[in-house]
Amino acid sequence: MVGMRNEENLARVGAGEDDLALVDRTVCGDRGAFESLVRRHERRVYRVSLAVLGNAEDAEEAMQDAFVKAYRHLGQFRRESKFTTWLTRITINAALEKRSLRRDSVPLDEAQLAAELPAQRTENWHADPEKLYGKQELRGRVEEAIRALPEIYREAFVLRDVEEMSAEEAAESVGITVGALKSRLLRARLMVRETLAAALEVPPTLSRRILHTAEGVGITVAARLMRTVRK
Amino acid sequence: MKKTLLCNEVLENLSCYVDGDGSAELRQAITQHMARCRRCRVILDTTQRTLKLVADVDPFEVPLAVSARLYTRIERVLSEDFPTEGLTGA
Repeated sequence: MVGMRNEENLARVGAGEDDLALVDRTVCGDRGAFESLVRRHERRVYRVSLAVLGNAEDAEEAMQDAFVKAYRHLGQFRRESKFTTWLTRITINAALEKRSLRRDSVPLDEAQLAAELPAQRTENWHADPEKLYGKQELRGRVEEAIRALPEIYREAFVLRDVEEMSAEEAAESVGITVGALKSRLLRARLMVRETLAAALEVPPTLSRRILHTAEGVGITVAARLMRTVRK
Repeated sequence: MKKTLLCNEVLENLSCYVDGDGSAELRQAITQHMARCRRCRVILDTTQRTLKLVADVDPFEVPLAVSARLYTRIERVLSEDFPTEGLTGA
C-alpha cells in the first residue's frame, strides 16, 4: 500500500508539488512540506474562518486551531475528497467550536430569512466602479457587504464566490446538500448585490423615471408624457 | 408545452443561470424572459457585475501580523512532535 502511494507520488511531483505530495512528505517527517501547505492555504483558511465567525480576532484563533488540527490528523486523511475540501471542513468545524454552536440541525432562522428574495434595487450600475471609488475603497465596500451577510449565507458566498470552490465541494465542506447550498448562495449574492447597488447605481434620468412610472400606468400615458418632455 | 416564467421564478433560478446550470429548457425560458423584462435584465446584469467586482477586488487579505503569529504557533507545534500518528495506517 505504501509502495503504491510512493509510485503515484513520483508521477505527481514531476508536475509540481501538489497537496497530496506535500501531505505525504509531512507524514514522513518533512516539516518544510507542512510549512508549504500552510503557506499555500493560509488565506483560504483565514477567509473561511472569517466567514463563519465574522471578526478577525476569532478568525485568527480558529485559523491556528485548524492548521494544528490538520497537522495532527494528516495521517487520517483518506483522500476520498480533495485536500482542500478536507482542510475546509476542519476549518469550519474549528470555527464552529470557537463559536460553541453545534450544526446538528438546520437553524430555525433559515426559514425566516428565506421568505422573500432581496431584489429592491433595479437600476443599472456605473460602468466603471473603480473610477468612482478607487480599488481600495471598493474592496472595503465589498468586504463590508460580505461581513453584513447572515452567517450561513456568508459561508456559502465566501466558499463559492471568494474561494471559488465548486458547489459540490462547498456543500461537502459545510455538510449540507448541494441544493441547500445553492439556495443560500442565491440569497447571499442578491444581498451583496443589494448592498453594493446603493453605492454603484446610476441615478435614473428624468425621461427614464417617467418611463418607469409608465410601466405601471400604461403605454399611452407614457407616450403622452414623453411628448411633453421632448417639446 | 412552452412555459412563460414570472419574474419571481426567474429570480429563484438566477444563481443557477449565472453559473451556467439548469436544464436547457429552463435556461431558454429565462433568456426569453430577459428579452422582454427590463427589471430582471438589470438584476441579472448587476448580479454578474457583483461577482466580477468581488473577484477583482480580492477581499480579505491575511494581515502580516496574523500570518507571522500563525507561523510562530506552527513552528512550536512542529518542534514538539515528530511525524503524525497513523503513518502505518491508511
